[in-house]
Amino acid sequence: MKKTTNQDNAGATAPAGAVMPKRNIWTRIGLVALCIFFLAEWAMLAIYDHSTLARIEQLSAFYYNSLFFKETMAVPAGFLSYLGSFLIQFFYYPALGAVIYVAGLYLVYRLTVKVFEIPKELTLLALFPVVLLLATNTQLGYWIFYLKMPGYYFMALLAVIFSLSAMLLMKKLSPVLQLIMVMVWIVAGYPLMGVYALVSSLFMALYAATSSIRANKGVLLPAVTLVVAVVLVLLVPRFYYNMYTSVPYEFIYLVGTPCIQWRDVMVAKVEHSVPSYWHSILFYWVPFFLLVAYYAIACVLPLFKGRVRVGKLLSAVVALLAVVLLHGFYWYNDNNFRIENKQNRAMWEQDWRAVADYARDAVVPTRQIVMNKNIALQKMGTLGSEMFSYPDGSCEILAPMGVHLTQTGGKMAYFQYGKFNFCYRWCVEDAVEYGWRYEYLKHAVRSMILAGEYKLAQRYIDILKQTLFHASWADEMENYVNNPEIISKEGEFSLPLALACYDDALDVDDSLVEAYLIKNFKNMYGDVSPEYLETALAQCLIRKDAKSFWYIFNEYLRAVNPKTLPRHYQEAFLLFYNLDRGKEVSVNKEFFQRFISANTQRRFDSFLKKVGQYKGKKKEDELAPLFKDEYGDTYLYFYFFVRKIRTN
Amino acid sequence: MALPLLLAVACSPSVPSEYSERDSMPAIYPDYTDVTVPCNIAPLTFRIDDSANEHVTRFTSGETVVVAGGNDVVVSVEDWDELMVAAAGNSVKVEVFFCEDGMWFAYRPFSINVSADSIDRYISYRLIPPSYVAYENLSISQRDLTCYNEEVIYSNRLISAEPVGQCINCHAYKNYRTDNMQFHVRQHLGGTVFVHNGNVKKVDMKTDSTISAGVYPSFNPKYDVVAYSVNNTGQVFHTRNPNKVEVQDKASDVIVYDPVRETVAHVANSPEHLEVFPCWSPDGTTLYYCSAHFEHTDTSMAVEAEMIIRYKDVKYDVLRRSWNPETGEFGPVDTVFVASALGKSATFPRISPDGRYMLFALAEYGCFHIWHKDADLYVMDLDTKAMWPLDKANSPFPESYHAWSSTGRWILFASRRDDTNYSRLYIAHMNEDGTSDKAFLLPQSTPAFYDFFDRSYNVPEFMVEKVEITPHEFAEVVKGEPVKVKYLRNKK
Repeated sequence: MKKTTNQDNAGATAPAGAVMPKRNIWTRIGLVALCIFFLAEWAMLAIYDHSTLARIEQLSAFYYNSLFFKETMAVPAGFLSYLGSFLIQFFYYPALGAVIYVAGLYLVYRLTVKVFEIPKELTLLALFPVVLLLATNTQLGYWIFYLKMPGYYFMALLAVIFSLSAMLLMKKLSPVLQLIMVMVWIVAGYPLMGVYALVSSLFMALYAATSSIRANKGVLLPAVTLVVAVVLVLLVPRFYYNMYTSVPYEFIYLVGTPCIQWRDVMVAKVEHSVPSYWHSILFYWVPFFLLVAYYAIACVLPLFKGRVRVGKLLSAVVALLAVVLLHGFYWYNDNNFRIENKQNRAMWEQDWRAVADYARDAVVPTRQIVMNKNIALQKMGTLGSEMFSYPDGSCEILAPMGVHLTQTGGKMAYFQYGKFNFCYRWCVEDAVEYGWRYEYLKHAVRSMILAGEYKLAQRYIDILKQTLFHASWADEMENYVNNPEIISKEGEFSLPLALACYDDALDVDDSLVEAYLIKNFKNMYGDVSPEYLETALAQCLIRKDAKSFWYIFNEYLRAVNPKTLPRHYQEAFLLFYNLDRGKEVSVNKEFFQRFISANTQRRFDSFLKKVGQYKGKKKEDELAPLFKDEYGDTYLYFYFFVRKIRTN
Repeated sequence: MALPLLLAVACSPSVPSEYSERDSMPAIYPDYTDVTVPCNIAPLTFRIDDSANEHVTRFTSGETVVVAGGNDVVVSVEDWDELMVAAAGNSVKVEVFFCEDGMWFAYRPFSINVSADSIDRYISYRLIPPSYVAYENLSISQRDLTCYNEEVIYSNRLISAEPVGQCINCHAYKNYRTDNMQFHVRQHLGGTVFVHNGNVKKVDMKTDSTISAGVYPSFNPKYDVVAYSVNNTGQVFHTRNPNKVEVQDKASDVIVYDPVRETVAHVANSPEHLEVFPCWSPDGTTLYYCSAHFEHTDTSMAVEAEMIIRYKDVKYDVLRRSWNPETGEFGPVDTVFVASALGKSATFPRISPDGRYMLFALAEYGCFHIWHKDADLYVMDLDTKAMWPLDKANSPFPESYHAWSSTGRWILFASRRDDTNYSRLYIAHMNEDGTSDKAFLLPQSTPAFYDFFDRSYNVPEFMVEKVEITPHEFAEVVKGEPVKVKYLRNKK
């Protein structure tokens, strides 16, 4: 049943005629605008941020057991974290997860209108908190790998929903009951909601006071409520500090937010060559501050009711501006970030063509994109003929903190390159920092299965079985544990197993995944497989290491005995042979006839000729664009014009 | 009121009146079949790992019978205590019945042997993920063995988090009591948190003459000194060996700390030896420690690089030196066990409270045996120098971090046998002749606990009383300024 508001009543008593249609138009426009807004938000999340939501789910954890509940609840705001983790699991299907999230946003909108009795013509202003809540998430970018707050994505949203619901309830209570409710809200709410309980209790008390003043009711009890709220907000966290062993004292008033991580100390060591507001840690706090400011203003507005007039058009324009500006600034739009996440999803789905194709969307890719692409090409058997025909480079990560491959794509790379111990190691290291996320568990399972450590793999399989969406994957993996003889027959595992042909050694990677892999493949401990040799050869080309190239190239020819030589190896051969000028290497004519195609030779010759034309006339960075169209898909271009690659 | 009563009656398990016997043992986790437990231990909960859809378990000791239903076998503390009282010095018979396709069967019964030797009421341990270099959520916790209560003694999350994080380690007690105890805090606000006769202080034990602050501690049980190793430790990682990591000391010595005078002095600091893991004898007049001979022979590379290549050459022997409490002087080095002569490495010597036995971990090489799958517990009779493995306590996976109970009738140790990677605590009864009975896993309130619990237990220690200083009181001390020790030269 629909309740009527004052505005509805006013409309009902107004004479029929010219006024009614006008109001209907505004109402309809408002409704349409709202529908468009929430639909657009859903589309942005479910379509534009599809891969990000999917990755957020992979980097989350919710387990259906009592110990997980107990551990999550062992910190203040643990209840929000638990519920948030529960809801994030639905991002497994990003469209579904986005529906849930947007439904929550809509609830915030409705509750804001209801609680603060926002007039109908101004309801678009209630979209402010909706956009701000969204901004707390859409701004994250690479923070999704580093946030140590399980359930973060939904925590603020849930907190606002609970708080507004409580305020709605409180409005119906007598002043005495309001006082009791505020006290209970703080004392019982702090362990469950952390700072959100503190802030919302102040809003509850403030709103009760201003509403009372506005209604010319007694102000004594509301004033007492406000004072009690302030005192309890100051004291309750101190009291609870002694009951928890998980919160440093200086953060007791901020638990429930990323207060421990979003500090300058986290970002002080990072040097950025290109300035961006995404590098400022303060920037990430702005949506939270604005959210608090919005509701603070909403709480004191009753004092000004009737004195301030905001036009319908103005409110619509302001709301629109807020949406556009906040989304423009606070929607992390780094293309490389999205490509990495798309590649990651495709890698788990073994869609190697897609992994490689996504790499084409990068202007200057990150090293992770390049590595993922190379893995995909090797899986498809086209590494030597395709790897340099994609965008290449080492784009700097757009984030305020140091972003390392070990946390983003390193585990996948280690697994695919047959470094199972190192893959597992980073699963464990990151689990220490961020908890056992699904992605870590899955990497741990796969790496330990291929390492032959079935008992350990089974442990993680059993944990994954306690999840909603990963249990069936765990069952598949359990089949390998129970039937190890089928592991080598599984295509997914053939490359990692072929690359895991080295002898054991003690080693360290210093968190530099690609640099370590390049060094490690060069060393070739023990007898190695043809796949290993091809990988080593490819790493050699990336390193532009002519000396190692000849040794590995010889080994490659001996072990693989290819009928034809992939194009990039031909190009590298011609380049290094040319640079050697016969000092170290001698090659007979038969080799050229057998392995160097006429087309490769022709392009190489024309490349050299063109280089000769510009010699001394142009600088290197001026030359690159002149060669890009004609030779951008060759190793020659990579060797001469893709410079300053920073492996990480 | 009627409904709960009805449910209670309906859920009350009963042993089937008719059943067939199966000639097989039940598969249970944890494996509590034929273990020996102290009479004051908390209830052993376990899970029956089979596909049957109904289970009933009957515990019998004399006239006392307790019946539990379900796949997870959980007995109340009250019922368990009754069983223990009835079975002390004897055993509890455990019969597991299961239902398949409407028919009831019984596995072969097993026993839980109940020793009349009670066990120290408390233990403490560090809870740490089995990680390599990361530490985010570490705690030193204490557990009441007569129930499931666990409390945090200190947590590193009380002070800070990465990147100004804190590692905490090496808790130790004097004579199983907590009025003299210590643990270390590393990195942020680092120092040794030292409780001396009930007073807490933070000590900076690093001097210009020692290679580090104190690391592995041992309180002298009779006198007011504490022995420490000082270590320059690093980690390197196996690329495919399941041992996964090697923790190596590039250099290590042994020192003694005087908590009254705030001084430290060397006990052992040979440049060609790595000395570590000090342990006082119960009478406080002999200091045992481990020592590995390692010479830096290839000067073309750094010592740590050479150690990485020759890591299997690092093998520790057990030595000891007498100590005169009146003069503070140590006697000559006496060799207790030359493990290296057997191609082995012996670590963590722990002397039984009666001074007769030395319990230690033995593996092929190295000092950090909790990562070595071949590491087993051994006992040496210090009178006869005969030694033997604790076969009933050992497993094919690492055993290390062992401790004697105050009575010497129980040992507590960490083992990775459950899933090969997470250290869990096992307790074994020690017989007069230095052999052990079958060890049992530290019981938890639910059998599924260890399936999900993602931290290892390490450095377990027995205590006869709990630590009463709160974590927050420790945190305040950690935030304060440390007492700086002085180095004494001629104390050897």
